[in-house]
Amino acid sequence: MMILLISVITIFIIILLALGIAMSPAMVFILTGIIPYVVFVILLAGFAHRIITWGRTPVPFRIPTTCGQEKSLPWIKANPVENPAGALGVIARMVQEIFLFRSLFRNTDVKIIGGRPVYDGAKWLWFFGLLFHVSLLIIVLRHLRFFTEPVIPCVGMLSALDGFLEIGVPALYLSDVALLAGFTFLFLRRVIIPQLRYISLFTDYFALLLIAGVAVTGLLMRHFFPADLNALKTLTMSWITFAPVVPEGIGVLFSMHLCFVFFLIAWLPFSKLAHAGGIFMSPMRNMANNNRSLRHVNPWNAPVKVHTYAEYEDEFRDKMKAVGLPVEKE
Amino acid sequence: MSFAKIPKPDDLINIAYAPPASEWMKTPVDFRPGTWSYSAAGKNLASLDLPNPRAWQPTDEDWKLPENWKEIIIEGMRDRLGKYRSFRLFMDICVRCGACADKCHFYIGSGDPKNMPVLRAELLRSVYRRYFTTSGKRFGKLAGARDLTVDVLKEWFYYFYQCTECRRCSVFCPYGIDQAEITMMGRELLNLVGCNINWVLEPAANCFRTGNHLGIQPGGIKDMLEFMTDDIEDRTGVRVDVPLNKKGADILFVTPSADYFVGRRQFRPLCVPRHDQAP
Repeated sequence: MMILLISVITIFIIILLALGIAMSPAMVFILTGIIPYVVFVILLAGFAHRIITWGRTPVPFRIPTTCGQEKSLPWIKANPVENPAGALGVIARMVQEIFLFRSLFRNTDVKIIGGRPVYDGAKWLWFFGLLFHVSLLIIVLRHLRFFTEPVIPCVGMLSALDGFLEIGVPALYLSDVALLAGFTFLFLRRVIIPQLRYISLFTDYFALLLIAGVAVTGLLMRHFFPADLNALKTLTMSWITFAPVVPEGIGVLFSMHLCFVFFLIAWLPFSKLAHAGGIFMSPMRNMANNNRSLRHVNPWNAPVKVHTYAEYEDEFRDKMKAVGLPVEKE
Repeated sequence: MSFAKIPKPDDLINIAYAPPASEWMKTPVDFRPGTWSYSAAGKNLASLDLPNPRAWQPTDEDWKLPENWKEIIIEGMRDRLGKYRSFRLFMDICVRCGACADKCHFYIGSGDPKNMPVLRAELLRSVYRRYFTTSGKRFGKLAGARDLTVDVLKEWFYYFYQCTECRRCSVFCPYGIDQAEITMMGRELLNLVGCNINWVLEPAANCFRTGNHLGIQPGGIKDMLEFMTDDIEDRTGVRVDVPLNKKGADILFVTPSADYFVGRRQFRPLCVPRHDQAP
C-alpha cells in the first residue's frame, strides 16, 4: 500500500508542477515551446533504442509457444494459426494477438470447490483490458484533429462515430467513458485482489494513474471548463510546423494535461509501457514452428565438451574384455 | 527429494491462496521438507567439469559459494542478456497483469505466491533491474529492484527448480512470456556457482560417462540384452543374434535406456513363473 501512496503523491507532484508552470510565463514558454520537442525526441530515441537492443539480441532456438496441432502428415489436421508453420500463420496469429488480445481471451481462473480444483473461464480482464487499449487508441487518433488542417476526414468520422449518442454539448465520447471504465477495472483489480496487490510495483500503479490523469484533465477541459479550442489548435499546429507560437498564458487544466502527457510520452520507452513495442518482438508469438521442416543453426553455437568413444573404452577396456565385448585397442 | 511426512488428501487440497502478510522481497525462502531436491554430488559436477564441486545441501546455512559468486552471477546475466532475446525481452516488458498466476500447477497446488509465474520471474527481474537498468540503479526498491544476496540466491534455487518448463504460462501471457526461458536462465546462473540438483546432474554425468542415465557399465548392458534375447527365444522360439559394439555394422540400433530399466526392475519378475520352471 506504501507504493500506491507514493504513486499518488507523485501524481500530485506533477499536478503542483503544472500549477506552478501555469503561473509563470517563462515556464509556459518552456512547457509549450521546448518540452514538446524534447519529449518527442526522447520517445523516438528511447523506443528506437529499445527495439534495436531487442532486435540485435539473437534468438538461438526456435521457441514459439504452440497452442494447436503442428503441421505434419497430410491426414493430421493442423492448426495453422495456433501453431503456425509459415509467415502467413504468424501474421494471422500476431494480428489476433495485437488487435484482439487472443491469449488473454483464453484466461481462466481456478477455485477449490468441494475439495477439487475447478476451472472456469475468466474474460473480464480480457474485456476491460481490450476496452482500455482500444479506447486509448481511438482517443489518440481523435487528437489528430489538433495536428491536421483541414482535419483528415476519417478523423472527423471517427469523432462523429465516437460521439454518436450525442449526450450533452459537446457530445460525450464513448471512448472516454470506455477508457475510464477500463481504468477503473484495472486499477481496482490491482488494489483489491490480494495476489495482484502482492506483485504490484510502483510503476504498475503509476502508469495507470498517469493515464487517468491525462484522461480526467482532458474530460474536464471538454465538458466542464471549456478550453479555447482555437488558441489550442494554433498552438498544436505551430508545433508541427516547427514554429511554436507560445501563448501568453495557459489554463491550469491544460497545463496539467500537457504535463501528464509529456511525462507519459517521455517515460513510455523506459517503463513497462514498452510492452507496446515488445509484443511485436516476442519469439513465443512471432516465430513459425518449422523446427522439423527447416534447419536452424544457433548463431553463437557454443563449443560443447564431448566424451569420446576412445575415452569410454580407456575407462572400461578391462571390463569389456572380461565379458567378451570387442574393443578397438588391446 | 527431501523426506517429508506424507500429507493426507484433505491437507493437500486445503490450499491457502492468500499471500503472506510480509511483502515478497522481505519473505525469506523456507526449505520445507518434501519441497526441494537434494544438491548435486560433487563427483557429478567434477565429471562434467562444472564449477564449484563440493559437499553441501540446500538446508545448510553456508552454501560454500565461490568468493566472487556475485560477480560471476552478474557477468553470467550480462552474457545471457546478449545471447537470448527471450530473456532480455521478458526482463523488460512484463506488466504484471497476473494472467499467468493461476495457470501454473505449482501455484495451483501450493498457493505459494512465488510460484505464480509472474512473481517467480520477478525474483530474477528484481536483480536485473538493480544491475542493468538506470531506474533500478537509481531508485532501488521503488523501481522494483533489489540487491543480489545469498538469500536471493537461495530463493532462486528453491523456486527455479520448482518449474517443470511446461510453458503453460506462456500460452496465457498476452506477450507470450515464457517461464521456461526464465527459469532455465536462472538455473544456468545457479550452475555457474555450483548450485544444482542431483536429479539432473547424476543422470547427465552417467550419460556422459557410460552412455546411459543409470550409469550401467558394459557388462551390465550385455547381461540385460542377453536376458532379453533369452526371453524372446522363450516366447518365440527364435534365437536373436545381438551384435554388441560391432565395428562396421550396417545398422546402429540404440535401445532406449528405459528398456534397460524395465529389463532390470519389471520385466524379470513378470517373466519368471514359466511353465517349464513351475515347481
